[in-house]
Amino acid sequence: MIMLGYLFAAAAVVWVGTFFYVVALLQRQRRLRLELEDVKRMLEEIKE
Amino acid sequence: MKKWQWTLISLLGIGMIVSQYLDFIASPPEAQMGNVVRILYFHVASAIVAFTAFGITALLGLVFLVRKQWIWDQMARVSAEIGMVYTTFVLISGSIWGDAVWNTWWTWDPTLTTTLILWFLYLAYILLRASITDRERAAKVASVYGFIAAIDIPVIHQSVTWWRGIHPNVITMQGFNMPPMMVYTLMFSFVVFLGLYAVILWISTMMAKDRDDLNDLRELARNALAKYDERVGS
Amino acid sequence: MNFWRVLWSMVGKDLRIEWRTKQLFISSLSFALLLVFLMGLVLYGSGNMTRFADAGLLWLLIMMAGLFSLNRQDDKERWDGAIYAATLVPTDRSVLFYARVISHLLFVAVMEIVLVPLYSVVLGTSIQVAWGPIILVLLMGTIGFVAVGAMLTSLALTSSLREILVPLMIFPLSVPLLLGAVEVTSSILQGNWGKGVWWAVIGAYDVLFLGLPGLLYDFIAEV
Repeated sequence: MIMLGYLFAAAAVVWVGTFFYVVALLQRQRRLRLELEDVKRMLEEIKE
Repeated sequence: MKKWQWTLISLLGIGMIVSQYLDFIASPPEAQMGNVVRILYFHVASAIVAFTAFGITALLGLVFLVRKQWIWDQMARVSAEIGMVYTTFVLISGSIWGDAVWNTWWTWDPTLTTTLILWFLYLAYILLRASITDRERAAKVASVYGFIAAIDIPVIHQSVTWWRGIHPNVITMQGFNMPPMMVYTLMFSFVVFLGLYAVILWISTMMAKDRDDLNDLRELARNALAKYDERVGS
Repeated sequence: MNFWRVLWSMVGKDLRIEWRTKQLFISSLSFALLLVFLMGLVLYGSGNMTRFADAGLLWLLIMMAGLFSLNRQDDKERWDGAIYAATLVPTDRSVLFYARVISHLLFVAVMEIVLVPLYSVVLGTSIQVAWGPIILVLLMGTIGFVAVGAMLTSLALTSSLREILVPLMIFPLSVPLLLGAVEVTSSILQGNWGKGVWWAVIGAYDVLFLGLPGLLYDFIAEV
């Protein structure tokens, strides 16, 4: 039989992990966007 | 981070905490299974997310084939990946449940078998995408495959049901056969899981789009530079 | 009219190549024979096997052999980029799919003529129970499997993981077909026709996977 405490802890770990994953994802997305804009600017310069 | 992102994150966090509270404290243990029933809130909700994700992959694949706009393909790709993660989670949580309730980690029950087949089907989908370098070709092929896989899933499920059958039918024709508190908890669990899916889908789609754009631009820059070198060299 | 002419010339081409080189046939058949021999060896004949296991093993054997030859055929069509040249056919591109299905079907059917009797001898199964139903289920099952295989090999055409991806897609997608074929075959081995619903599953697979790729093939064949 599985103990309630273990279940609770496991679920809590999964939730916290997921939460920070989403936060990290948001940050990664922001960095990517910045890089994209960088390259765009670079291309503009090359054109000139 | 922008304000809406903060709002989103806080909503998600609150949802998770409430869900944890409902799953483990507010809802009662089940008469026969005891506390093991709490796995169900995660297990069933993940299964629903997985099915939704694969359904959306199939649908968006078709939209891409018709409309030829990249965003649909990017979203379909991301959705399949999320679905894959949740399917894995369904299999694992189901196994834990099975060990506690049926006293076996795995059995060739129709629902389990279908889920495992689903896992293999979309493993192939992801590998198929990853192993084709031409992006347009990959998108088209994956869309066709995703569509065929999706219409095959009911057929597979039906056939393995005729083949053999100990999975609990929690949702019967008469509605839920569970006490109300459990139903509320389960419903809330669905909402949080689907919300989480939507958030991850959205962020990842933006990332997929940006990454594709970035690759295109790099390609463009490389070509421009090559042309420039040629002109200077000659 | 044009469609049929192209279809026959493509199937004819496959058969002619095979007739002259016999390469595909020899390699696939030797692989299949080896499998039968190994099965007989590890199972020490089949006195201790149920009809059910007999049927399941037979179908796994057929699918493995079919898969092997499918991969070989795919390799062959790749020489000198022949498959890309073939997309220039002056008619609907689904002809490529149907030509592939027909030639591969003929090919696997010939293999089965050798394999099935041999299997029954090596494993001591009595397939002489009822030839008619056995041939019918073999034919229908093979059509479905070949159709799924032909579609998926063209999907995976440009994939760098082709050899592993094709089986990874074929087997999960054709699980109902496999189950149906095994169920029906084991019933026939026990002397009755089996449940109608499994015949229907096999039939539905044949219709679905012969029809669907025909509709979707324009997307697949654009290389």
